[in-house]
Amino acid sequence: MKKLATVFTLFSLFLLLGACKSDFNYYYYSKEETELLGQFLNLPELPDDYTVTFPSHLSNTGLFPRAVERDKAVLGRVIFYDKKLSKDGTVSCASCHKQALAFSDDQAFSEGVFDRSTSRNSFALGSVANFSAYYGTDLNGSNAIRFFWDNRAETVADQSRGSMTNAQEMDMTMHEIAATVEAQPYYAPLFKKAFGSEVVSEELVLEAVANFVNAMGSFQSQFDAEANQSQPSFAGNFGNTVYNSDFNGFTAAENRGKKLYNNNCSSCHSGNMGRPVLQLANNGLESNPTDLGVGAITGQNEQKGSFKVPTLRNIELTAPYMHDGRFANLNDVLDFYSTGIQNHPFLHDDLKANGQPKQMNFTAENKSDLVAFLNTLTDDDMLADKKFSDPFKQ
Amino acid sequence: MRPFILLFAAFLLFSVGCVQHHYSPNFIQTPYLEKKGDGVVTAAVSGSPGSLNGDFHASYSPVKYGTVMLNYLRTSTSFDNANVFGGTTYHQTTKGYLVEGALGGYLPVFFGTGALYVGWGQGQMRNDFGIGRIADLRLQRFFVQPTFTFKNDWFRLGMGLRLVRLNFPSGDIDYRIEPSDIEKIQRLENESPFWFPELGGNLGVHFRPVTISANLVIVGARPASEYGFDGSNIGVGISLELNELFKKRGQKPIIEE
Repeated sequence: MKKLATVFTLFSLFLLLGACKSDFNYYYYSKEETELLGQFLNLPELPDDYTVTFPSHLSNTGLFPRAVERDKAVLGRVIFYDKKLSKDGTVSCASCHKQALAFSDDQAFSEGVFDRSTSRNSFALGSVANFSAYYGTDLNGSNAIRFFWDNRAETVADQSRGSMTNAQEMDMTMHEIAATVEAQPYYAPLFKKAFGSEVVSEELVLEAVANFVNAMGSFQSQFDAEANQSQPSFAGNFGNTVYNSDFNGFTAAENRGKKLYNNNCSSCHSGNMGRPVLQLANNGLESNPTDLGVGAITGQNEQKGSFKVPTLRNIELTAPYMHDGRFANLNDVLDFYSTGIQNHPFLHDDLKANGQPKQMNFTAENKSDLVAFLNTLTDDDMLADKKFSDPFKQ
Repeated sequence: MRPFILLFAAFLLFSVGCVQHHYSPNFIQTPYLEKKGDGVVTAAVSGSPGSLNGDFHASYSPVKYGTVMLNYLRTSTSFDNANVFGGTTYHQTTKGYLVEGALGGYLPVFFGTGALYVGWGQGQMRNDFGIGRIADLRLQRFFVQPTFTFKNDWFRLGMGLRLVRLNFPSGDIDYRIEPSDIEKIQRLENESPFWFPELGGNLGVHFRPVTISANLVIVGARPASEYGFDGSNIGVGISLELNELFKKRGQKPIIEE
């Protein structure tokens, strides 16, 4: 019995003393793929994580992001920045959607191929992730958020197709896009990672871009940090909440600006910078608009002169403002809402008082406070995040 | 007996779920050995929310109070994983095995038998997340396992607590695997080896020399899902007690007059 116990103990000790340090080998690109990609692109050895995580103040309201497939987003990033995918090889998606400007453009009308000019201001893509779960009629029916100023695209993929094939922007057919992608050697390994095959199709190109754009989220703003620590005073539709109490980390001016924003702007743009509450609105830019916006697409009279309501995240960086970039800065925008709203038969109700355009009559201090508040919506981390930057070697 | 087996078969079907896993426990073997020369072999099928397992076991007492034990576990899963919001659906599989040996000793305790086993084994868990995205992890398991068994002519009851040290010494991981799954694997890499208890038992009906038993094992790692461990396994097994079998065979045949 004693012998047995000794053998037992020695056996146990021997087993316990075994090596225990883990040595895991993670691989993504093969050596050949790394060499090939390295000739054209600056991509990390292991891919970036494109998972979108909402700040608690948004997720607590039931808002959630659309799932992003990382390998498709990695491929989408390259397509997004690839100028070869335009007719004259000078324009990419990123030409009009610049990372430093929250994926908007600082020109009223962006420059497309052959120096052609776009007909509307480039829409900021820097916070698509905020409302990604709400676009696509298949998911949200009439509550869906749509793309382009005139809401003509249902999804990011539709929107990408629209820009790639627009004569003023990239002026390609989707067939040409797919053929050009197929001809570039660096796409083969990226397609293989994303889709398990090197076969390129128009749909797969769009799916990849959509995954990249869906990952664009701005959640590290000062507003988010404060909202995460605060209790909302009002909860509305589509995850919209409003914070009436002062934020501890805000300056007095920022808190005054927040109050003004809640009272005058949040019913359309949302109080928590989640998804915009309204899909579209006529905000009285003109009493007799030449650009009919959504109405030109749908043909509905009451939508003539209406445009998509944008999120205000990173608004500080997305000047010039409105669908035609008519306002050079935020003060101009506030001047308009203060005294410049024009009458229109279909002016949105929130912008009316006694049947007339509601002039908000902001004082100089009000405007300054509002700008101070709007500046808290900037997410500097996202603007400098490498995973959203141009991957091409210059 | 038939409803009992059918119930378990139904449970197994429902319990084979749709998650990848990096560790699946075999049953805690409680061989009913009482003297030199006793031996038992067992085969069992088991399921959990993550796996369908084949569990094989053999024990033998070469000396009085001493036992040699061999265990072999085969685990596999196959399912289609559809992403929410129109993402791609991937066919995913898990295949793995664990083979281990143990030495043990037993003594009569109260109305049954108490035993203690110490064992070591190694295996592999190969999760294919679709389109060739594979996480191939090697694992080693050391265990100390006190058990208590009771038997009579008709029933077998065994209980055991397995104290496990689970180590993942190496692995080859395709980084195309979704970030949430990579996170789990990195947790294994960073926190391995794991120490945790497993609690299990079996209850069987004995028909000389065969026992049909229901088995259960519960993993005490908290929370098992964070590491891709199956939290439990339940199944049915059939055991053959070799001493009874050979004793039967060794009996003199009855000669009809």
